[in-house]
Amino acid sequence: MEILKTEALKKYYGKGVNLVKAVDGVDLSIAEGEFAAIAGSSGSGKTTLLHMMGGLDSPTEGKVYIDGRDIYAVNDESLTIFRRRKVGFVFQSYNLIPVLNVWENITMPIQFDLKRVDQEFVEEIMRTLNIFDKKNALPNQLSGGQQQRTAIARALVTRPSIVLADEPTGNLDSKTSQEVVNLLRHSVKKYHQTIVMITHDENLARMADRIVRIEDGKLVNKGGAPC
Amino acid sequence: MTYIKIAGRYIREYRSRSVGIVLSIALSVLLIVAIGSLAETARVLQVNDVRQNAGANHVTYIGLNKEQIDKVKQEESVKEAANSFSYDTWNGNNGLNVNVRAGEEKILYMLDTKIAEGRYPTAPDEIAVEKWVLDRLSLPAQLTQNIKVSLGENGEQEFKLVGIVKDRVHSQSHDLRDAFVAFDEQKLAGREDSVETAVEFKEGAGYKNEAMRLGKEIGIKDQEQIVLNEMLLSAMGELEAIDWNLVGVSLLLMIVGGMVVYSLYSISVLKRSQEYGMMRAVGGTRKQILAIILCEILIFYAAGAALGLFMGISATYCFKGTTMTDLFTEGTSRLDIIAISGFAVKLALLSSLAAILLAGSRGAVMANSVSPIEAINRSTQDRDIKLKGEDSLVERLMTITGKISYKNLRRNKKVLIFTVTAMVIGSTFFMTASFKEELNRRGRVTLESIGDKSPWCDFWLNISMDEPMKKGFTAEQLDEIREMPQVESMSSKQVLYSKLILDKEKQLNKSNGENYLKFMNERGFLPKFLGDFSWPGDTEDEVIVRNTVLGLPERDLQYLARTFKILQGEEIDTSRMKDEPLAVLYIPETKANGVPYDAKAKGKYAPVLNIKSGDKIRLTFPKEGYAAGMNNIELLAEQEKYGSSYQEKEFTVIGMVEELLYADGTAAGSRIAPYVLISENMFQELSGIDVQRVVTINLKENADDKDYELVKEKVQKLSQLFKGTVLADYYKYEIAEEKSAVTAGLLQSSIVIILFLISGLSIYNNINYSLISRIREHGIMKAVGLTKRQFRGMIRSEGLMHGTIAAFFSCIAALVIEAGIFVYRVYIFPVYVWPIHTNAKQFFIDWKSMLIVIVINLAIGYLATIGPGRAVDRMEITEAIRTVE
Amino acid sequence: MSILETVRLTKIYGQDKNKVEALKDVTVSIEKGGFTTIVGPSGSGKSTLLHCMAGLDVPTAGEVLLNGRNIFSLSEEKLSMLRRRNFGFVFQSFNLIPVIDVYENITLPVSLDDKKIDKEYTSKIIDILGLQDKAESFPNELSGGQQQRVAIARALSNKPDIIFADEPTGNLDSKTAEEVIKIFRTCVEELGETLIVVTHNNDIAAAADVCITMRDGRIKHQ
Repeated sequence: MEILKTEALKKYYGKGVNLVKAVDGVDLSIAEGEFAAIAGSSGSGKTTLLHMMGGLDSPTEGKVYIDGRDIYAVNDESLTIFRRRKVGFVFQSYNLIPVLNVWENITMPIQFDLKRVDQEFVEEIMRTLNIFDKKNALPNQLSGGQQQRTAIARALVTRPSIVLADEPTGNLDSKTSQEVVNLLRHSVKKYHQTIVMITHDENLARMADRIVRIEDGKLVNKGGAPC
Repeated sequence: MTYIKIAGRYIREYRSRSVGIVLSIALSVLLIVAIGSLAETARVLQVNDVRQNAGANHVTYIGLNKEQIDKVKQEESVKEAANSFSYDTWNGNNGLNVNVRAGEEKILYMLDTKIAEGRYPTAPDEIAVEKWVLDRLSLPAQLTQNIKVSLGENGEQEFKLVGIVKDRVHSQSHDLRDAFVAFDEQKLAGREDSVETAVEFKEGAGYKNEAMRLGKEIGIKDQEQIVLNEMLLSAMGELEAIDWNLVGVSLLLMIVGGMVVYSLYSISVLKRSQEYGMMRAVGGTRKQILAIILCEILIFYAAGAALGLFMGISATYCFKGTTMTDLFTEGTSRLDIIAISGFAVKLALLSSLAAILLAGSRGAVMANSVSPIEAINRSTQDRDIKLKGEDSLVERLMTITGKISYKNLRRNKKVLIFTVTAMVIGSTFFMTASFKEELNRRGRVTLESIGDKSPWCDFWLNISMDEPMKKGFTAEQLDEIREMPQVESMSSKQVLYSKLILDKEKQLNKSNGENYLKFMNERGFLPKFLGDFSWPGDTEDEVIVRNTVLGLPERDLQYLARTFKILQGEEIDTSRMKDEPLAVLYIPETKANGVPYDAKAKGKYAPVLNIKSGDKIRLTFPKEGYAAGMNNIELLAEQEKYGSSYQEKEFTVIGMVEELLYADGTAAGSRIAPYVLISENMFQELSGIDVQRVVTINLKENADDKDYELVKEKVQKLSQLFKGTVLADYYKYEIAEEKSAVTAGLLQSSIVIILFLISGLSIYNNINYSLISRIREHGIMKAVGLTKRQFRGMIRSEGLMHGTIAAFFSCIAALVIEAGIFVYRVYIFPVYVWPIHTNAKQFFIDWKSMLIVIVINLAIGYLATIGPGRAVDRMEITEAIRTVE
Repeated sequence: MSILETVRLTKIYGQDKNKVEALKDVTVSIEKGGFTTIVGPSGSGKSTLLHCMAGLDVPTAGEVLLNGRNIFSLSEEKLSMLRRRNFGFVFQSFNLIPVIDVYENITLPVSLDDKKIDKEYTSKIIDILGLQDKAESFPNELSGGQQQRVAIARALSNKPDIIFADEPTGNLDSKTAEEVIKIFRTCVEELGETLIVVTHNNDIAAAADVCITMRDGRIKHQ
């Protein structure tokens, strides 16, 4: 069953001589429970695509449907609330609020929803991601990998329908990277979630169910020879 | 709850910024509350002063009957009521008259005094008097003594002194003597309609209306029976009116403080726009982000306002007991009580709230107006750098690092303007305050350089205008005091009341002369006491006008010459006045309506007479009548009767003096009538009189209270030689003024220091932010080869540029304002500190304060770069490069 | 001939639990006049290696020898001047100082040195990089590719011995990236520059003479 669909999605910046076509007409369909990887070189438009898929950046043209709903057809408030409950985000950087500790960062979306925190569930996720012992630490006391794992935990905590991750292993060494992606797969299967992950690491991309390649704002399917 | 928690974390995390914001709010609030309260206190004291002078009662009802009096006493809104009437006049020793008032004890309260020793008279033969009055009458201050009182209408009576009333300073310094006896029905007999019921209402507005209402209620038909205490009411009216001066200063402080708060806060919100973008990405709605920002703001506000209030009120109380010169009106008060101005508190709280709400709103707008991704990715610098291609002359001369600093300054224009404005306001305030002080000082110094101390003296004796013209103090009598070791100098003048015969056409100023005569005849010259001011002359074109003649001894003639030289820049040989019939003239000035000192009238001041140096004037006076010791006022008022016996003498005018430094203090010697100054020699020739009627005495600089008492005794005796001689005692006032000069200075310095502190904070913060937002650039420059030294130089020059710009605009703003103040003070509304207006006549530039301002601005600009520069410097190059804005 | 050598270069960040060993005992030699790329996955230490070689970051242990001399034996001041006179830099983004124009950005290293600008040479570089009509523009008026070309021009303007570039095509689209690669080759072939480029762009790697691969702080193969 289709959980996410994009239709002729475009994002253009600037005008005239300075016109940049970050995303230039993307039609994409993601099935429920799928683990999809999006690969492409820098400047290919993958991050912009991901942002639009998650309702963070409004498209210049085109539509995005999640669970059958046109997410850009509603007002900002509704979209925000929708995002809070249905979409989990992991960014490449700037994931965490520096003045809050790990636990507070993870439970932030729930707090915004003014709901009570299901302590057990959160602890479970934290243990799965191996950051439970850092519960009270501040972000600047964590390593890059630990910060990333905290961000992932936050993405999972609201049990979203879909998790969008932008280079979640960006700052990690190869061994940890593999572990994290495995964890993601594991959680996704366990909680019946869908995950779309951006990566430029071929090895990690191959761990997904499907690889979507993008170049200069358009979907392609090309391989590349590594060095 | 989350909002408060997140807000609290941010506050703790950015500690120095939080402290900066709270401090700025607190300092501004502190200043407004302190200044407002001190001003309020001064006005309350002024009201008290007026109470002393004019009575504590808001209204006096005259001629009430018993029923009405009872009704008044029972009235809700009445706080106190006291009945009294003027019983008689006591012709006391030394020819001094004392008003005897019969009243209930509460009358003392109305007069702002009370019984100091003993009790208030209850029996019809008891009396209570102030000690200083007893001194004047040469009576011992001993209770239970029997005093023989010689009453004007009720003959000789004996009274027992049962009470000594506390000295009323105001009455003492003006030599207004009263005594009190019991409110006695018998004494009242036949004069019931002269009973005065003084009423003080409870606090609340509308005293005037209340007075009228009550009067109507108790059945008063004749409006003349209701006498409002205008002086007190207007003083109280002023007390309750809005103090626009304070509003002005508060606005100033709030703008400065507010700008700092605004920039401190909005910058930090800008830096966090990424985090807010993050929160929104994760699901925080705009409203929730707004709530977080609001929490932070309100916490700052609460802390800053509370701290500021506390400090402000404490600071105000520190002034208790000191003497203070009001910042705005320059009147002196002794702060025995302290009033906290509710108005100032409200103003301070409101304006600081406005400032911080404005600051927060900018941040909220920035965080919420864009999509979350744009917020996360946004650069906090001005992306739109519109810089011209051609280099200006200045830029071409700079090194590359200097040029980069300069251009960065121009890049963030808004921030620069803010920072500089805060500094400019502080500096300008300082410079203009300094200028005002210097203006006053120069005026005083100019005056003092004349060498004549008599305008400011410790004792002043003035013989009554009723005392026959030929009476006065002899040289021997005066020498006794002059030669005392405690006395530094003594000055005396001869006085003659006379008239001028003027040519209407030629000598009366067309624009205001006629109006002047009209005004003086109707009320200006107090016709009730003195008679008319002017009469038609013998011919059609003549008019006769009253004036006073002063005879000046040799020394004073020298001072007069110096007055001309120093105050007016004229060289006049006054020594010629000794033997020749030459005179110096003082002509009053009025505006077109002929009323002296009418600030509200339109037009410019012009002299009422058209007389110049070289003109001749005709002086005329009743020489024989004076020699015979007849009544002065009668001789002068009855022009028809005595006019023919007048003697005339012509004088040539050799100079017109603009300031009358000394004069006869009686009503007849009014300063709003012309004065003719001649030498003592000519005076004696003219009138045959060789005694002195006005004497001023200065104690030595280091005189203490003992010296004061010794001299005072002798002076007192001297005053008793003639009936009704006024003895004014300024000794205590002088001391008060000295002390208060210190306090005013302190107040002004604190304001300036705080303003500079606040602006220093602002610059520091702005430079800090400016540096940090350019970390990447610096990293790249260092990578490309910028040494630490070059880097530091670049930063310093940025700071110095801030300082230079601020200094430049401060000086310009200050000069403009100073010019305005000068014009206002000298031409439009001159400030008079008796007896002359104290301003210098020439505009000057106060270089000292300008230099101080320039140095401070540059210093702050420089110092503000040290901290942030060091912080940025410490960062590794690679870290800097990696930083994505 | 070797122009730059690293000897047992080690770089460790942080302490205890948070310790990161970015470089582990790295020894490489760079040939004069060659186009060398350093590749590897994220976190492999390639940027760190570049920074140490360029004197931007101080190693925890080991040496960097430029023409036989250890650059870290110099004072901070001298090291800055060394960079100014002997090295050229191109970073991934935000290379330029926004408040000065293109020409001033290009001549920045020379201006910092307070030396006279060789106008002829500068014109030559501007021509090679196709920036003739942009000399008085400001960075925010240029596209990403143009900015990068200005950065390269700057790197050339002080006639350096070595040019270091860290992900120079990271933010560029494929077409512009190609152009930049062409320019790099020109620098090496026509101007005789030594070029060291860190990248994970395969096309750059393909265009290089030597390719050094790094993984987890060590050299995998050369």
